[in-house]
Amino acid sequence: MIEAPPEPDVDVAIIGGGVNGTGVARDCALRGIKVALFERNDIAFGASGNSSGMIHGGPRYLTSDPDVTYTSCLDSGHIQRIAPHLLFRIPFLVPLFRDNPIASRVALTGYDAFFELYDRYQPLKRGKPHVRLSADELQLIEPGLVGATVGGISFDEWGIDGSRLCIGSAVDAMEHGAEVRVHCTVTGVLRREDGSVRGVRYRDRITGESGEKTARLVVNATGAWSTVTAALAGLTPEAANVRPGKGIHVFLDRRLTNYAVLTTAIDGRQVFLLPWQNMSVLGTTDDDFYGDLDDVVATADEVRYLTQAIERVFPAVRTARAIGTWGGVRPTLYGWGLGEDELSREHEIVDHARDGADGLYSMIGGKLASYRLFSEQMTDIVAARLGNQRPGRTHLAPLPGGDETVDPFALAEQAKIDPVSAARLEYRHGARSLRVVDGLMRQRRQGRLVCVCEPVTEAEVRYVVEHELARTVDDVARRTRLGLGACGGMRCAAACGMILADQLGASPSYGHKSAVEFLQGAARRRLPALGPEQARQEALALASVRAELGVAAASGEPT
Amino acid sequence: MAVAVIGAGVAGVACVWALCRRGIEVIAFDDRAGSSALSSGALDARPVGTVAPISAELMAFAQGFEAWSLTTDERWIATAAGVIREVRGIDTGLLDLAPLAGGRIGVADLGVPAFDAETLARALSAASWAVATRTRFVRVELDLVAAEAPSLADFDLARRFEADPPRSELVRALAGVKDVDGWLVGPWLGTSPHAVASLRASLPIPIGEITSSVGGPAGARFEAARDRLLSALGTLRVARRVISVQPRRPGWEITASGPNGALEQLVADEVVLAIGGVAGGGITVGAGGALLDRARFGTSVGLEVDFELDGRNIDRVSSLHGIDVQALGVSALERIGIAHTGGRVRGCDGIYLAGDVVPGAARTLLGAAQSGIDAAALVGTARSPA
Repeated sequence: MIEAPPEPDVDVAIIGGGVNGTGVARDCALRGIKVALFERNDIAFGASGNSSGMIHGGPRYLTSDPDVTYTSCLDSGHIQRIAPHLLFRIPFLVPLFRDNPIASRVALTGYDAFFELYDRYQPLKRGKPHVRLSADELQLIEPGLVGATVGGISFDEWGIDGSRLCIGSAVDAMEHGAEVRVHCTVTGVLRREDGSVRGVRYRDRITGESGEKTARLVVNATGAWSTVTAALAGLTPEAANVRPGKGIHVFLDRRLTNYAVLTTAIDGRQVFLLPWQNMSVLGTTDDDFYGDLDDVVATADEVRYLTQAIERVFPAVRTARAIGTWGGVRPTLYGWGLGEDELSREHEIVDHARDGADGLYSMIGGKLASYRLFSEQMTDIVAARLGNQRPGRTHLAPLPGGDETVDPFALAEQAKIDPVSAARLEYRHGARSLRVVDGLMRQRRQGRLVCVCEPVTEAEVRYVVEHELARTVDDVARRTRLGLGACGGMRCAAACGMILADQLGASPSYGHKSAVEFLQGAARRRLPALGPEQARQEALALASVRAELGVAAASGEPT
Repeated sequence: MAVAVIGAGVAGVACVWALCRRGIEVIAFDDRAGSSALSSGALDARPVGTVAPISAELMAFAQGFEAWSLTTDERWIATAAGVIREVRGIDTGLLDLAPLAGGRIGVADLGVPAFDAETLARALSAASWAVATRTRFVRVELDLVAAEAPSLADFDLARRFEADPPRSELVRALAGVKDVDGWLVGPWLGTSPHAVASLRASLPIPIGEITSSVGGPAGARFEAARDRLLSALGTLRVARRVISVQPRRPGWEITASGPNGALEQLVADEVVLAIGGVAGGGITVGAGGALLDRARFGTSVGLEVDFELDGRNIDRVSSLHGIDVQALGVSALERIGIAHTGGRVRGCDGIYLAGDVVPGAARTLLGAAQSGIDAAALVGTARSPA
């Protein structure tokens, strides 16, 4: 008698906790498909949490890849509907300089026509039409711009905190029955004798605990790591080929502009200066990457490249202090013989049945703005294979906190915290900010600011540990921006570590270790952007951290 | 012979002290806070965590230095990060935990936002020293009107508790609690060693602080003790920023900028540079100015010297875009110094180095003091000018 094969643990095992992995997990969970997601580092650790954070329609792709523009704009509208708290309007300015008056005027007319075309897509995402500005108007609305211009163009985009978006998807997936494991790496994809996949083997990188999770299907949503993941399944890396493209951003300690300014770098690439909350962001680069994907740090060269470009049109950028950099690696579709910027931003799904691994799929390429659509396409395939008939509704169902609006001032009043803290809390958690302050109202002391720069309350730290899978100080920072402001965590990392350990029921040394790791990482990310003034502060920080934690914490070197 | 000591951090002060013991006339220059005045209050030997032998001279200096407590016993302190660690000595304001081992230590909760007594008490109680010695830390809430100013920095709070009635109110509140063997408080006990001592005298049980963060009262107490010592030694003190040290054959011409930008000049036979490293501001990392200047290490006193990192000479960096600290590694900020041979600056006869300006491993207060004493021993050994 032949025994029936045992029922697998889940329908789908998803590898990767970026915007696509969490997007598929959420979509599956909403359709009643049983999923388990494994993330090697943290949710949004890679490109998703380190992108420019724009849910834009990609005007950049308008001439080369208009389909990308269309789908991005359409989905930008969907994302606004499901997570209104997370989106903010970014009005861009494109100044055109008078270096060559005739060429510049021609360019201005060209831009005008180009954005005329882009305006057709704007209603999809509640965007405002572009405006052609005279030189005087440009100067009036952004007085810090230097250089004679022939005028410029404004156009409208939306920004988002990419990490919060991924967290939102992951939490929603869990609330609909998904299992999500962070800091849990997949060490192998289990295959049957006929080559088809039957699950994954995993190991928790914090506890060392390992196990197997059997699944009917496996989705590789590991972005730039796709080739590595393919190799884990016993395929050639080329089976899930991407062309990793590194992009970096530099964070400045103050808000320099009200508009985002788009300009060109020395090589003609477009780069930008972007106001973000109380800071400014410079971005971005795009360079082939051959390094360690778990350890992507900006280099001084990249920082100088961006600073040089922005300084030319906005010299005040030099007066600001760089408080950090971040680097991510795009999982661009593979192509040989093309420049980085020429590569397609489209996405595709690879069915590895073609490689003899039936049941394994890889999500390749894509961008933040079209994550939802990409996830839906993947889930449609998964659902069809599982015989699930339920339609996707991730464009309708609000993400956690996106269901209602909360007035930050009323929230401040109610929770007895200052309005800035309340506004930030509301931005990150939407309607769920009420749940965060709930802990605070039960225990008054949780209203204390752990991080003064950002600002983050103890209640929020405890909330993200309890409800949002944070297991390290770095994870807390990714969810709350704790320690990512002007002081670089000097004043809050240790305190956060103590609260983290307490909330997790771990030993204080676990919290210290986590704080030290965070400070080491933050110091490494500040280094490439260190100017003369910051060098002294950095040296003082090294001594102070060593005195308090008793180790060469910020130096990244063992004592 | 007239000797100028530039910089009055711990290296400069120890050097002045040692020179005075030798009967050498000293002019001490100092301006703005360096890394000694921004320190935590923990006195580590170098490198941190290892117990280095303390020289008899360093011990003698420490005993005459009011802000410090350095004995042959091991000391344990609690840090603001909730760590309990062993140190060689302490700023007198810190709580020495060793005598309280096995006891019940109250962590005073004054509702000051930057001092989370509850979390701290929990973390400290679980620290391995506390577990091994069965020492407990308990949060004790004290309702003080004086502390009701949430935005006050530690230094300002320490200032506030130096005066009455806030001080008597604090003492009364602490004395009202009976079931603790000692008190651990935030860095608020006073901005001078004297203030701490008089507060302690009014309490029956030990009281002390956690470590200070940058700009906290431990640094202020260092400065108070420094000022007392220099005045007791009768040292001529010039509170001016030295902007230039230039050879004058014989001797060295020192230019200091006085009030209203007026320049003052003085000539010294020999000079000890105790100007601090990158952290103290003695070594600059390509300070602004013309584009070509961006990529140079420099000294705050404008002296043309070579710089050394890990035995390598770094006289300048050939880049228009500033020094790439990433390429050097962050710890270079602590290890870089002025190139020297046995404490004598190469090419500058009669100039000696003390403190963080000496290249090498990250320095500690005790290491810096020892280097000041060592520099004092070299004074007078310059070759006579040709």
